[in-house]
Amino acid sequence: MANKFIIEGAAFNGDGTSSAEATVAGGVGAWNTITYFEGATPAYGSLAAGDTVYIRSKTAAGANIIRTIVAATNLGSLLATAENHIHWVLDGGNIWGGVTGTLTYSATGLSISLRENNSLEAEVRGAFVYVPTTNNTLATFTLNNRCVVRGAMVDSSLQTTNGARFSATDRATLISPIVKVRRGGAGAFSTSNYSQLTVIDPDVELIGSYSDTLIAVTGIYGARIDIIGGRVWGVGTQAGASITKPSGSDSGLRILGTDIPRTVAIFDSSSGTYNHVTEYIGADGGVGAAIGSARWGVADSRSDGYYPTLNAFLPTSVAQPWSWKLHPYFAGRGRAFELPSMKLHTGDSGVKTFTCNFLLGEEFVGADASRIWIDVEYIDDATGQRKHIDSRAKANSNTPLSSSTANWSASTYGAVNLLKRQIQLTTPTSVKKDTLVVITFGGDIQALTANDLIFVCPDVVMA
Amino acid sequence: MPNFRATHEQTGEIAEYNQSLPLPEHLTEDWRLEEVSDAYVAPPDPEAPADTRMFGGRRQLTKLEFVALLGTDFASILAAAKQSVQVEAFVMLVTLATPDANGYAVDLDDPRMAALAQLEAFGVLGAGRAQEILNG
Repeated sequence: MANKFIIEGAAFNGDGTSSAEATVAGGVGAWNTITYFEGATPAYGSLAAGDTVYIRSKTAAGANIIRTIVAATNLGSLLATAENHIHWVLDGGNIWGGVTGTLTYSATGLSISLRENNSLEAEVRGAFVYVPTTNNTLATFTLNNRCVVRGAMVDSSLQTTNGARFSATDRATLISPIVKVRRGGAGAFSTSNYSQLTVIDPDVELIGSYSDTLIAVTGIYGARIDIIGGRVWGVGTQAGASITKPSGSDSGLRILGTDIPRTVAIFDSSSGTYNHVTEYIGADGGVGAAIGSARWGVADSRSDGYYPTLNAFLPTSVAQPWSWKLHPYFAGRGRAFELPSMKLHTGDSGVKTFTCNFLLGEEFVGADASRIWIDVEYIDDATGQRKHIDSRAKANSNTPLSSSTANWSASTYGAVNLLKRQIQLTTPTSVKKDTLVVITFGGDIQALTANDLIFVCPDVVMA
Repeated sequence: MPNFRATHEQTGEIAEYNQSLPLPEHLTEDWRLEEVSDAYVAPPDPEAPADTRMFGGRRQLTKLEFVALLGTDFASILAAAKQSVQVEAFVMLVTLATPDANGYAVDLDDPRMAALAQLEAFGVLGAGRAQEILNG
């Protein structure tokens, strides 16, 4: 994990290891081409997972940077991993003092995306800009799985009717984005099917006066958008714009503390029968006195052995076998169930594998590794920092849960046949000796019948 | 050789030129100076598995391509449209869509394509067909 540097247009292409311009090709100094941010392989030096790459916000000649998109463009690097993102930082004068320019991707209706596991930060809000130059409802800045983008702007000022938007596939986060919406039936923020987008502190200006403009539109099959804080403003808020339209099939939208004028309707006038939930709290820009209720269902346990048990015992003098029964009858995208447990790692520092065993109702439809997972939080031995990993598979990947041969006390519960399943997760780095590891069994799959049960052994195996 | 575009902040005057360095006056605060170049396009990965989807995973289609994607369900939808205004409305939506600058009129990621899930729920499409069509 190292810092690398790009100065677009510098005379010599260095090895990327210094913020100064190189004096010879391949010498110590910044890379001189922004194509490395666009997926090209560095000619000198290397890019690796975990690197932070600082981009000077003006060229070596002192000009703001405009990149014209000639084909759908993917930003970031394929080398990034879920455990070690590659961070791209558009410098706001911290590295190159006094240089506060902009990096603009200009498109005639083409889209750009940020590759999964890459993060992008514009240190000056709005310094990274995506500008479609023609009217196109399809113009999108797409964030792929696990992307985090801070301070970027999507600007539809050059469009006369339609508007461009941010969109997410799988799970992504936007922090302090700016969106200038001309007219957006697809919203300022949208998600693909199965996907979730978290937006924090947005600044959304509705620059066109159109009654069919929307702010956030989810996909179907469990898509979700959460918007926290920020504001929506502009002439479009007085022209009949709406926040969203129901998108169907277990989709959801939550708006918490976003300042939205009362002239903006919640739903547009479209009709339909959909399974969609919109929560709208604190639209004056404040959270107010909202009390959250995160009800997903019921978890309970018994001490008489009636529930199937495996390794866990209650901490009593009798030490009865113990397990949890979960019935997530109200779970769903954005309403995940969580069952935390802890292990104290007293052995030598090292890489550890955690195995969580559970029983799954035989008829529990849709239960795969994208809907049931474990999170592990541990203290990294090398850095002392808390690290988080999870087993959650990509949405719609149909990744099955692993079978298990664990010796449960029973594999039935009344008339319900139970399937033995397990989730294993190995830490990418060593766990520090004598530290607490938190393992959370979680999921967002809804129980549709009384037989859709999960029995979890809270004694997670650490090896 | 870099392409420069300088815009006067007050008058809007634009100067565009192609030379190794910008004019010194364009580096002052009176001007907004930009260097314009084409973004990098990665070559196809020869080791990537072949995309077997009908249009290679392309999410934007022409209307005829969308009809091809529907396959035999196209006739089923038209038949259902004769009995349901809602189904007819979906057919009209696609019919009336005008192509964008890139020539495509249908976006599989457009939220209005959620109507396919409704068609599946109504039995117009077979089980799982909505997802198959939306996956391209």
